[in-house]
Amino acid sequence: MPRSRSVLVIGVGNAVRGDDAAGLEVARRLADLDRESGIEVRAHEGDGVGLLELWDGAEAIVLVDSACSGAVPGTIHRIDASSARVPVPLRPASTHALGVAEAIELARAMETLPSTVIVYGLEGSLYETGSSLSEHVAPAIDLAADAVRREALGLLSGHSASRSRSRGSRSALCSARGSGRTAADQRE
Amino acid sequence: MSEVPTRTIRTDYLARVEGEGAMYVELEGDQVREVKLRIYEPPRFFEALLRGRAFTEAPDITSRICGICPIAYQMSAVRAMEDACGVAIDSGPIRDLRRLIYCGEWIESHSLHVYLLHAPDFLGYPGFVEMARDHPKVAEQGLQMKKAGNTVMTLVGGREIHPINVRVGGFYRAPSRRELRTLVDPLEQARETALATVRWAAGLHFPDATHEPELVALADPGGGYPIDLGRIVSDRGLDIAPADFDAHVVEEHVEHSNALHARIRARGSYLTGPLARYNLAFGQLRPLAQAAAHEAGVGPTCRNPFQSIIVRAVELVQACDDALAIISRYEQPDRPAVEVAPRRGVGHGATEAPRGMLYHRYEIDDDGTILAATIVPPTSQNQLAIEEDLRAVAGRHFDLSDEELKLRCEQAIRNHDPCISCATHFLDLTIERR
Repeated sequence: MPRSRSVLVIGVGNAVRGDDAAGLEVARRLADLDRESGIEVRAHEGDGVGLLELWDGAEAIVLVDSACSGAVPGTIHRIDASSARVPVPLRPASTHALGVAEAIELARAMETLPSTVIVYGLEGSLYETGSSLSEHVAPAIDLAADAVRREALGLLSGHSASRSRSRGSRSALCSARGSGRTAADQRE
Repeated sequence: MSEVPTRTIRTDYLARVEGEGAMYVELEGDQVREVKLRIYEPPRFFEALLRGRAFTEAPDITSRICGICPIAYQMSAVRAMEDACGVAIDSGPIRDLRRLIYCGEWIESHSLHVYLLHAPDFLGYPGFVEMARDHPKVAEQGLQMKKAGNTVMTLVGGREIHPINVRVGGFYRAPSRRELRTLVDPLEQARETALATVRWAAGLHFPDATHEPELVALADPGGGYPIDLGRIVSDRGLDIAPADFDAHVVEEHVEHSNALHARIRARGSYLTGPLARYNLAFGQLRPLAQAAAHEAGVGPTCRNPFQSIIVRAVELVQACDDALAIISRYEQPDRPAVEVAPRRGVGHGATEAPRGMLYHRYEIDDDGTILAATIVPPTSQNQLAIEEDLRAVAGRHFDLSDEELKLRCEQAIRNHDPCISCATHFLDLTIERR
């Protein structure tokens, strides 16, 4: 059955493992988007296989998860995974057998991947059980939420900035510990 | 310096297991000198977190320990709390609903393991993505069956991950008979797929292995296959109530792992999970599951851990068929839960998570405040037996090249479907030859 909303934002993470909650927090910040804009916003905990069911039927998805690449904590990565693999060093962190990057590749192998797949990764530093967001990541949540909001609205109106960019490109949008510039300021 | 060549084989990040950890194997010629399955973070944080919380909060708090088997945590927690309060829900529609949602979790977890985590080992792929490219139907079957499990968990539990409808005493809301009937079609389909899975798994190639640890599982007093309650029994004479777990099982800290190693005081290592359940309760499998096992040529005894993929497939048939039987006899209860009044005491709960027995013990105060909590996940219980299995596999296959031996050893670990995210935090793998 076709889904009623074609653009889907999914915040992925684990609520009780420090910076791994970043994706869930971004989804929470975007609840208004789900209520008012016609974009579906969901939070997803648990293994990545569930994502394949969650995005089934969507045309464009924006995934938000924590990332572990060695970049400055708080850095927001943007990856267009529509036709290229998520680079290994930017694999979002996952304690499950199958994380976001693996779910994307599994769907690609099975030819069930939505046509547009944008991944936002928030560079984390603290993943201890029971801890909350680290001081580096907490301030980046709002910036990431703003960037994801613009991305999703752009996809909805069919004028996504990503369309003009070559597929598979990635860019570190900003660091929340940096100069305070917004995500848009630092877009390539 | 020894003239016998020594080699080390290590995997620093063990793939296709739940969670992260490491394997280290050291060989001197054909002798295995050392084997370590390194697991780092047991759920001790949760045990500390539970102290001071209400007894009613334990199912929801502990379900956060694992995104793959939250129902197991919820069910062991509710059994333990009810035990502490002198309540036993051993039959009737509430118990049926518990068993039904547990079947959903078995279906979800086993289909993920059989098709995406274990199958690539047998089909010769490094991972499930590579396998799915060449065998999309195999991956699709796994996902379809997993979805049937999700549907059960969502309908009975309110949502598929960390379900919110389970409470001490029963459920917040009991589904109607009509609602449950909507599960029949997907479960019948999943049952057919499961039967096909048993036939498919039986045709795979299995390395020789005989691992003979003590096998431990629950024994369902009603004569059913062990899932949600029962005494703890073994093939070497153990037969105890969950309340006596502490008296018979000791947890020890070992240097290379943060997870505690459990062992039976009188004897040593033991194995819980599909192989243990199957060997101890083959006669309690539903006739359809028994017939499928016979057809696959495994019979009532199966001690080769590599064949656990067939056993999981048989348990998939069992879970689908059991779920359908529950749905067909279900009558919505007048009340979704029984009253459970707190009282000072200690309670124990043991249930069968997909990968093995999960034990909870709580001490609560008069007002239901939790004073102490102990959680022994299946992977902590199995860790010693997995290491012994790894030692046997490495010794038997020492003549393989390092790369082949590494894969064989990884496969030996995956045979037991360790959930390292329950028991731990991080896993890597090393094999050393001297």
